[in-house]
Amino acid sequence: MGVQKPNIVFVHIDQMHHKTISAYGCKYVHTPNLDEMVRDGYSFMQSYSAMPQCCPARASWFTGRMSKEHGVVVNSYPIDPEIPDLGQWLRDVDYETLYTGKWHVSGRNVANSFEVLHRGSGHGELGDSAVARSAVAYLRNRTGDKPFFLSVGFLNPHDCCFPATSDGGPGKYAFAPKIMDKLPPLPENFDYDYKNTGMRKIRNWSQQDWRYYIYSYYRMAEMVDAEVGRVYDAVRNGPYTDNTLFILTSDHGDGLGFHAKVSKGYLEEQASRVPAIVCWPGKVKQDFRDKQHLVSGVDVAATICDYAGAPPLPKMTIARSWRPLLQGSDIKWRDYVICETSIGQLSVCVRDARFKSIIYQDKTKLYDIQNDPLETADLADDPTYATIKKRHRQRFREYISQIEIYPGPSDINKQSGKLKRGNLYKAYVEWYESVKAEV
Amino acid sequence: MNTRTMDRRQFLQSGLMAATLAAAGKLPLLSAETSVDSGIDAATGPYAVKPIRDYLSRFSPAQTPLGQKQQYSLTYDIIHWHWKAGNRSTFANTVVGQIAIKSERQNNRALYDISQQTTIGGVNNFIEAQITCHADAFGSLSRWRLHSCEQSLDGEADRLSELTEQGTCRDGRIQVDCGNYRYEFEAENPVVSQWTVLALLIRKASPQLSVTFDLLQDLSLFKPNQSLVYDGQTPVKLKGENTVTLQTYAQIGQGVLPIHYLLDAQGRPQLITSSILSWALSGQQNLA
Repeated sequence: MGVQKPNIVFVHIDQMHHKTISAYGCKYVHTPNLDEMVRDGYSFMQSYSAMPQCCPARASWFTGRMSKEHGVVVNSYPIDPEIPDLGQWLRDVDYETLYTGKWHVSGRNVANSFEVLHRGSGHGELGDSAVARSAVAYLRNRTGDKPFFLSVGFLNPHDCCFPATSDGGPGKYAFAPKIMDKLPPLPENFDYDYKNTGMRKIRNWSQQDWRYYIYSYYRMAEMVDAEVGRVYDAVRNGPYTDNTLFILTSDHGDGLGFHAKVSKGYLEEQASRVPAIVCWPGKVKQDFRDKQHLVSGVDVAATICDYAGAPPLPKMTIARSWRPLLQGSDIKWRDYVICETSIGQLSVCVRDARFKSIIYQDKTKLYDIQNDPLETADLADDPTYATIKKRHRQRFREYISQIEIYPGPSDINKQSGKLKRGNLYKAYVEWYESVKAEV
Repeated sequence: MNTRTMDRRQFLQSGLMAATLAAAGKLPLLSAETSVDSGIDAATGPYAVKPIRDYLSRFSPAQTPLGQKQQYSLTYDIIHWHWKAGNRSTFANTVVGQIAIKSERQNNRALYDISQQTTIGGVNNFIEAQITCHADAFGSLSRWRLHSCEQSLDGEADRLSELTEQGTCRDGRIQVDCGNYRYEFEAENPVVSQWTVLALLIRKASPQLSVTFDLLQDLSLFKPNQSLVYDGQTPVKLKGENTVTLQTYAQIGQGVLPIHYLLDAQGRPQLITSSILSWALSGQQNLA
C-alpha cells in the first residue's frame, strides 16, 4: 500500500502588506487567525511576489513561471495558452482540483482547470464570506477518496483600491476626526524625500486622510483574517487535519502610506514583499520564522507539485520547492531572488541576503535592506557599493539567461489593438536581450 | 404622511434634542457635517451616506409607524457600491439582494427569523437563521441554527454548497458545530449579530448611547470589541430633492469599516452603511 497523498489547501489573499499581521509585531491590526497560523506553521519572512500585480503574480503561482515566461506581464495580457497550470497538472495525478473565489489569471477560464465552487466578486466585502462558506461547505460535504487540491481566493484587503481613488470612493474620510485616537501613525518613511530619486508624492491627501486610509486598510485585513480563520478551522478541527498541507500567501502588497504610496505594481518592499505561511502540524516546523531564505511566489507551484507527488510543471526555470526548508533540511538555497514589474517603467528587483537593487532601463537604485528596511537611502551612486551594484547587474543577466522569454502570441499584430499598454512583449524582449548581451 | 411633514417634525425634535444636550454639556463636538477637515470628502456630502449617494436618489423612507418594539419584520435592500461599467471615475449603487429580519418576543426572550439572499458573481446565495437571544439588556445571542446554500440562476440548488451550523453562547463561550467539526470563540462582551444589533438600537437609541459588544457576523465570524455611539444628525437628500434628517449612530471595531446606522424619528434604522455594502429599509410589517 502506497503513501497517502496529502490534501492541499492554498489560500491566497489579495494586496496584503507583508507587515499586516499582529503576530509579526504590527500594533494597529488584530489578526488572531493569521496569528494562529504563524504559531502553527513556518513563516517565510523574506518572501517576494514574482510580479506585484494581480494577474502576473497569480499566473506565476499556478504555472511556476515568471511573468516574462508565462506572458501575463500586466493584468490585461493573456497567459500563453500552451502552458499547463496546477489545476490541470494535479488532475493528471489523480487529485480532485477545486477552486473558489478570485482567480484572475487573464486569458484562462478557471473552469477548464478546476471544478469551480464559487466565483466570488470583485469586492471582498461582497464576496469573501460566500467564498469562505463555499470552501467550508465543500470540506463538510465532499465524498470520495481522492486527495484534493483546494484553492481559495479572497479579495480583501484589495477593497482598499476603492477608497484610494481621488474622491475616496466609498471611504468615509470625513469621519476621521471622530476617531483620531484610533488612527495609526504614518509610516516612518512616509516623508522620505524623493527629490533624489525622481519620484514625488502623487496624492493631495491630508495627513489625516492618509491615516484614515491606513486605518481602513487594517480593518479590511481583519475582515479577511476572519474569513481565513473559517477555512483554517474547518481544516484543522475537521477530519482532514492530519493529512492536509495549508499554504497562505498574497499576490502582492500595498503601499499603505510607505513612501507615501498606495497600491502596487512597483518594486519597493511595501508592494513586492508578501506574507507566506505554511502549516501542517507534525510535518512542517511550527512557530518558525525563516529570516534567511529568499523565496518567491513562483515557488508555490514547485512546492505544491512536490508535496502532491506530481512531476514538476514543465520549464520551471526559477521555481524551487520549499519542502526541504519546511522539513528542516539543510540544503543549498538560492543566493538571490528576482521580482519583476511592467507597470510604469519596466524594472527588475534583485534581492540578496543584504542588498536590493531596483534596475530600470536607464538607472539603478540600491538599498541596504538589512540596515535600511524602509528603503530611505539610495546607495547606487556611492562608490563604496559599486561592487554590489555590479554584482546585481550580473545576477540580472544570469536570470535572463535562465528563463525562457515569452516573445508574445504568434498573432500579436491582430492582438495589438487590444493591449492597453502598447506592445510590452517587444519592449521587454528588447531590453532583456540587450542586458543579456552585455559583457 | 409626506416627507415634507416629517422633515418639519424631525427638525423640531432635533432642535429640542440639541438644546437639551447642549444644556447638559453632552453635545458631540462634531455632530453636524458642516465642517469637514478632509481633502477627499469636501464635495461628497455627509460621510454616513457617502457609499449610497446614487441609491438615495431613488430611496423613499418607510413611513408606516413601527408597532410594538420587538414584534416586527423589517426588510432591507442590500446595496452594492461599484464603479459604473466602463467608467472608473464614477460609481453607482445596485441592489444585490434582500434581507428580512423577523423579530418576536417569547417568554421575555427575543426570537429572530432571518432570511437573506444575495446575488454574487451570478450565483444566488441564501442564508437562513433562527436565533434565540438571552433576556439581557443587549438581547445577546443565546443559541441559533444557520443554514446556507447556493443556487444557480437556473434555480438548481448546489448540494455541495449546503452548510448547517448550530451555535450556542453561554458565559462568553461561543461554540459552533458544523457537523464534522466545531469551532469556538471566547467573548468578553455581550455577543450580537449584525441582524440583532438593530433591535438594540430600536430599544436603546439615545444621544447618550455608548456600548461595547462583540460581533458574531453571519453567526460565524467573530469580531470583538465593537463600540457603538451616537454620532449626531445626518441630513440626507432623497428622491425628489427632499431632505430628511436622521439620527446617526456609529460602530467601529475589529474587522469592520465604520458602520453608520441612520434612524428615523421612531428609532427605526432606515439606512445602515458600511463601505462596499449597505442596507436600506424597503419594507416593514408589524406583527401582532
